[in-house]
Amino acid sequence: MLFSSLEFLVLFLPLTLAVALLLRGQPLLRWIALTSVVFYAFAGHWWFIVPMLVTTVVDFWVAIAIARELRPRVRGWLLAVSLAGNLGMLAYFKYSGLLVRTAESALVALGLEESARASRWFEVMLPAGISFYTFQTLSYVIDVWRGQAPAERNFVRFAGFVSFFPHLVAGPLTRHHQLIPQLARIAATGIDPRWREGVLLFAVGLCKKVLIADRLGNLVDPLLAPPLALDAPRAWMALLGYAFQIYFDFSGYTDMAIGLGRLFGIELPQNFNSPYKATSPSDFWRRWHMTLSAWLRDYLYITLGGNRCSPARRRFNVMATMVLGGLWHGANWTFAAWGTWHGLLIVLHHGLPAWERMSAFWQRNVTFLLVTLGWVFFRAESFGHAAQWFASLAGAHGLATPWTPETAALTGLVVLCLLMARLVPNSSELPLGRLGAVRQVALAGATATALLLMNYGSKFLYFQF
Amino acid sequence: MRPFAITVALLLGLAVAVNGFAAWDRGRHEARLRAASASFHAGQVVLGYRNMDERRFQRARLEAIPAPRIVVFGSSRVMEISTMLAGVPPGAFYNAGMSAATVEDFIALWSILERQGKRPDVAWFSVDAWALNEAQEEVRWLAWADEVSGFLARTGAGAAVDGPVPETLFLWYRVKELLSWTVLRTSVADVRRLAEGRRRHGTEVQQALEGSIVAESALGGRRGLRADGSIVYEAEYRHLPEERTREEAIRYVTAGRTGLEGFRPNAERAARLELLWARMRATGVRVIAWLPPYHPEAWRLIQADPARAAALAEARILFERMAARTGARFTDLSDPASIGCGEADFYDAIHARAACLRRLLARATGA
Repeated sequence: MLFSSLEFLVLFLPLTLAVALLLRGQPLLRWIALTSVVFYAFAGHWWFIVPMLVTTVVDFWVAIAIARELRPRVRGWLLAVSLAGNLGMLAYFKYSGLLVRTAESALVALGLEESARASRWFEVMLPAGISFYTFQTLSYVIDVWRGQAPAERNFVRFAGFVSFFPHLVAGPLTRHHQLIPQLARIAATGIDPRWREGVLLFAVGLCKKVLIADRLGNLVDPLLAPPLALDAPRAWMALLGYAFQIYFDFSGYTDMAIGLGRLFGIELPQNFNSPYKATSPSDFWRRWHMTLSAWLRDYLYITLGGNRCSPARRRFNVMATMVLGGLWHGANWTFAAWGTWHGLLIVLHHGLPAWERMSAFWQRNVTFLLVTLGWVFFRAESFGHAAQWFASLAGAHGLATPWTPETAALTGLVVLCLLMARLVPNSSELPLGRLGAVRQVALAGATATALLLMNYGSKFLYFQF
Repeated sequence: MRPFAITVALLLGLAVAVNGFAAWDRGRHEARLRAASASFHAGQVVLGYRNMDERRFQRARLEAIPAPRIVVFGSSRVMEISTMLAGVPPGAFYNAGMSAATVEDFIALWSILERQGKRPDVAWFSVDAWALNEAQEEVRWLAWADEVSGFLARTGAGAAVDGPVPETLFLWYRVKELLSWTVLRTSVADVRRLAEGRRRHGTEVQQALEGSIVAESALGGRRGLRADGSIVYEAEYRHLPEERTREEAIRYVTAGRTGLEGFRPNAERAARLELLWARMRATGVRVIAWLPPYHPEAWRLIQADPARAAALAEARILFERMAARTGARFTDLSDPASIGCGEADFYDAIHARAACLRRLLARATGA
């Protein structure tokens, strides 16, 4: 079930919210957990709920056992159980396909096409959102092990933390200290919806997704089908189009998730802060997918030694974090390349004093250009595809482009998006609580159009991660 | 928040009102269409087919036609197969193809033929892989759930589609149509025509069978439907340049319109199709089925994507097993090269031209 579907908006959400408003205490938490599981079952296959329930049950009990246990060695083993369980499941569901495809390529290279074809049957379907809830429960267990968080004793509340449907399938990656206390609060006092901020933010997100990201996707996808041999202007327009498609898609989803949270009286963490206004690659990662960046910083980068080590070791820590962060986004070596690209940008930026001498204007533009070039690896289906795209960007397939209605529409949308991303306040800066009548009517017009235009086949790009 | 809520409600209410009115208006004309469908004969074509409710039209036509010897079932991908292409005398062939046909559509069409005592000798099936995809929503057939229920009850398969669930689903999808941009565009055009005093699309459809039946020779580049159920595409579609066709083929796959996305075999639907074939075979009907070809570019892109390629392969295996169990003849012709069809042999990603269909029939029937 998608947020941008009538099933969700007309059936699921009103029913879930109406019943939740009547409940208090454990029944309210049970209702939230139950409806979240139902939502998840409709996000793809019903069996998606099995790995999520396994993660929930195992990490709930492991955390309690760690909190009770005083012997460091046993606590370490218990942590290892959780890490092995979570990362093992993630590896199985998410990365077995990558291993199969890699093996398939090797078999083809060795001339064993038949065996390569057979290996396709070993591919496993990826449950939506597994990367998100796995990281959430991992951070919880690690914090309990570090003594930085108490173990949650209420299973239903913990299940609500893991499965709360607004953030379940595509974030924001919400940490235990951000959500569990809020669930405890609404259980004690009942839900106090922030209607105005919730509904209006949801509407903003819906418009971003349906009116911008989906339209861009319709124009960009045909251009990027392999084999890719575009003239340079269209290759660049496709790249810029994709850069804005993924931004408006993902930030639109996040706005909807945060808006939905507010309808349940829960504040989910901010995930975007105008990333295309970033003045350096490091700054970009403080603004793009902020909850993932914070998670990688706290549980990977700092664990590896962070900044408190030699410059060479620090560079290694950055590279390792970014490569693994890249692979978190998808089971394809192109995502590792994307992470490597960003790791290199951050390392180079730290070692480049001249950067600080540039004006903010040029810092923003150069950062935007470098980040946008990185999207080639993110969007490409293979390194060959990426190479074709880079060749097209460099003009290998011509410098002139035919002016078609599609080209005009894409150019117009890209310019509009560029202006919005640079000049308009982001969703968290919008004064939704005191939006004037004229702006409300304008937003309503866009929302009604989005509701009519909702593309039932379209999925959020970040679902696959 | 009042201005926001009121504006959204007003705009959506307006969309629902326009769509609702247009749907009601179209419904009135469909009733007249059914009455008029009986006066439609070989050598003629009916104009305005694009605007018809295909299921209602087919029901009306099957009740009107004489018993055919060959009937072809399938989606729009078979609609160009005509009596001439089938190589049989006039009246011996009927094309029961319709847009996005489902297994349940096949069942309903067969039920009507059987009830009318018009059982053919041979049934051709152009089966699409998407028809067996659980993730592919197929609800339009609910318009004739009564026929499907009756067939399943007669064949002892139980009343799987009886009860409130399909009716509720059907109602829900009708509600969704009221809030659809695509439907709204059509409805606005209909309402505008009414307001401008021009003929409604509904009127054209109704008059198509009452008065817009012309000799095929007088069709003049327009789209029309022959009395044998086969389609004549408009000149604009027939003469699309190859590059446009290729672009459309790419868009078809990259935009995720193949119906193979998220493929999960629909066991219930597969069982129903097998039941239909078994029933046909038991009554002496020869069943010849095939997976129709894709445009070479679409085929290449599908094969390049492991998920879609696996989905197609899985569907093929399901059809092969079904055919083996029921004694039907099945051929996988999804690879256009298997019947020598090139890019010039397609109108778009999935619709083959007559020359390609002729080769397809020769291969599938073993003629």
